[in-house]
Amino acid sequence: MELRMKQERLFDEDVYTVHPEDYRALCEKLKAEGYDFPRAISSVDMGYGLRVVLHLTRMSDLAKVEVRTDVPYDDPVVDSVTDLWPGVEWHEREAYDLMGIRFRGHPDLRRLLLEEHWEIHPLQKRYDTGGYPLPDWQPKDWPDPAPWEEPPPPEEPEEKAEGGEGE
Amino acid sequence: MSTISLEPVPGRTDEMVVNMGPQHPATHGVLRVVIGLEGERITRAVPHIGYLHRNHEKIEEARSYTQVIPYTDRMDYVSGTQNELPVVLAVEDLLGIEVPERAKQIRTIFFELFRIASHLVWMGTAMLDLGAITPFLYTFWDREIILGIVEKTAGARMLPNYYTLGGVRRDLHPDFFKDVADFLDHLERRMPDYEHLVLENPIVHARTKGVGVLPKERAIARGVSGPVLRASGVAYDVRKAFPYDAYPDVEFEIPTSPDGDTYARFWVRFQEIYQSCKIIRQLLEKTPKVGPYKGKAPARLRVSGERYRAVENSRGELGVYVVGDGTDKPYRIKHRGAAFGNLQVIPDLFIGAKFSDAIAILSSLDPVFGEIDR
Amino acid sequence: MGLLGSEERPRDIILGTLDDLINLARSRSMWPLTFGIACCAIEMMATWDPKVDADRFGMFFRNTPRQADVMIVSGTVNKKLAKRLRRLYDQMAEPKWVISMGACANQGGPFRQGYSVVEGVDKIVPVDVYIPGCPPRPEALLQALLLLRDKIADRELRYKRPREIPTDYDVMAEPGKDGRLPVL
Repeated sequence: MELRMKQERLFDEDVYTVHPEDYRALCEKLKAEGYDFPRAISSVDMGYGLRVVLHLTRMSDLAKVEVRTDVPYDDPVVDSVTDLWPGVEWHEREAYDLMGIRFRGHPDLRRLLLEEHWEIHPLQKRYDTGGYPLPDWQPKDWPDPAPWEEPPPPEEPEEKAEGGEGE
Repeated sequence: MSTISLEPVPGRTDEMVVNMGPQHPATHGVLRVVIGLEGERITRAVPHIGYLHRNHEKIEEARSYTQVIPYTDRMDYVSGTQNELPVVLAVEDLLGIEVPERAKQIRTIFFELFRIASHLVWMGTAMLDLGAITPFLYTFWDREIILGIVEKTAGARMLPNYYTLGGVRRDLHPDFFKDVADFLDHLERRMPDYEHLVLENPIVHARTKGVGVLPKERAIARGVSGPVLRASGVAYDVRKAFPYDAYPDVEFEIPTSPDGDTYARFWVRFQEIYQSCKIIRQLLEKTPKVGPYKGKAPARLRVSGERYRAVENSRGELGVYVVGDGTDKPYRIKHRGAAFGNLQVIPDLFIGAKFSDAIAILSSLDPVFGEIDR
Repeated sequence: MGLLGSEERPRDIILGTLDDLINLARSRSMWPLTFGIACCAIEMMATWDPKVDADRFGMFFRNTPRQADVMIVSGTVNKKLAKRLRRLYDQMAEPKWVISMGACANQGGPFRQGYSVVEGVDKIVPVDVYIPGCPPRPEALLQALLLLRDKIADRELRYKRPREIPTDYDVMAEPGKDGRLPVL
């Protein structure tokens, strides 16, 4: 099955940027390749959406991998990988608590660090840091191409000898 | 606000719900565990954290990277400068800053000194949990010697804000080498006493051997790191796996134990103190007494890119994920506390154990809530 | 308080009011509650270690608030913990005193701009002694304990009963609703 993703190498890690619907399939593929140590799940507010970053390591040869996926603000849902690696349970709860990303299939998704009755997710960029003021925040447009697609190949220049509008 | 319902569960009688609350002499900080007991055996354990959530990550988005460093000190407050290193290394990677050799060696010496200090605190408080008061007084006396050495060079005892981009902030005090060598001699004379008080203590044996066994695959899948992982038989140490600073140049071993019980976690931490002494002795000979202590770092920081960088804290893998946006303030900085991963095994280890075993297990996991709650 | 006596033993008899004698006894046996929250708790533990020993002044930790009379708030208090802190303070029996240790307990410290940090523990409980520092040295905590000891024994600074406890801080308020974390 074709996964909508992009792979690159940053420093010493393989970084995969994947469509949120294929995130779970990619994680299962990585687990089958032997990545067994979940280091962390980070969450970033990108301005056009929320990003989930999963950091994994393979114990046998210490290879590192990062899996990134972007979700929009109005539907921030991604599949949970708690059954593949139980160690991400609290990391996903924290990403939900502070950034608002919901994980489908998490056994116990409730707030971890803030109180249960709170409704805001404070780490999103729309909230002020409370200290030195940030510049005026405006939401950004979703980038084109999407972060998990390859950029389109550069266009070939037209042959001038053909003349006019082409045929 | 407890999430254990008080409805009777069919097949279970006599279940009592006990709250081991945020104020407790033995929780090493503000942890709340809601425990369901049947007699003396624990049947349910739900940990609640967040009582020390100090909004590090949000506040640090409005501080420049050099201002972030003193905030990171306050995460694992027992370990001092160990917390500063992930951010410093990540930003040095993103900016391509060269660190002189002597600065790396100085950073490593302080790193290991704080590992010894942290394990001494652990030893004192773990024995306090088990009921012994004497080791606390001895280990804190030794820790005062370390803090005195740090204070002479860095200016502050516990949270020194000493590392910076490119090296360290100040040069070493002239007495540094002699003080550290004297301290290591003193510690090596004391370690047999500590072994006798802790590792050979029949009460410790009875309370910790076979208690709280964490199998190897479960430990890896749970994201546990540090002495807890090494006590379950996995030789994963970030200092050997992804080396940084002066670790490629020193020889040391990674103590592991195949048992995975609480006594193994105690034993591994003891061996780590010995290994730290060995590392510091090698570095004391290698480090030149005069030389550069800081490399060139740009005056205006323009950091862009993302980087995850981890170090081996006294408690495990302390990581940071820095996202820079081209300015001198981080766009997003996420800290992965070492004990945050370790504390997830509480339901695994508590259930089935007796209540007093739970205290011993918790003290062997050694949580520090600054890095868990951030 | 005055001292009387005969020629051979001039300081045999202590004269004073009953209040003075009771406060003298109370001040020489202050029992703090073990309520270490954060980094200052480690320096609090260091105050009881052999280098700066506070035990020799008659102070040793009691784990339950019912038996303690001093609460040393050592560390940052956030909204989640504030309810429990207030409950512990209410569980202590009178007379009780509070020492606010460190910058975080005084006024929020370096985390003052946080969305869930209480700016100072005196919004929750009445404080008798404030100790600046981040973290304060063990000698500073010892000085504060001795200051509190003198405050208890001093007839000028009487302990008022009941104490005025601040009542207008809403720990259940979520930021954004009480204006502290404005939405941009």
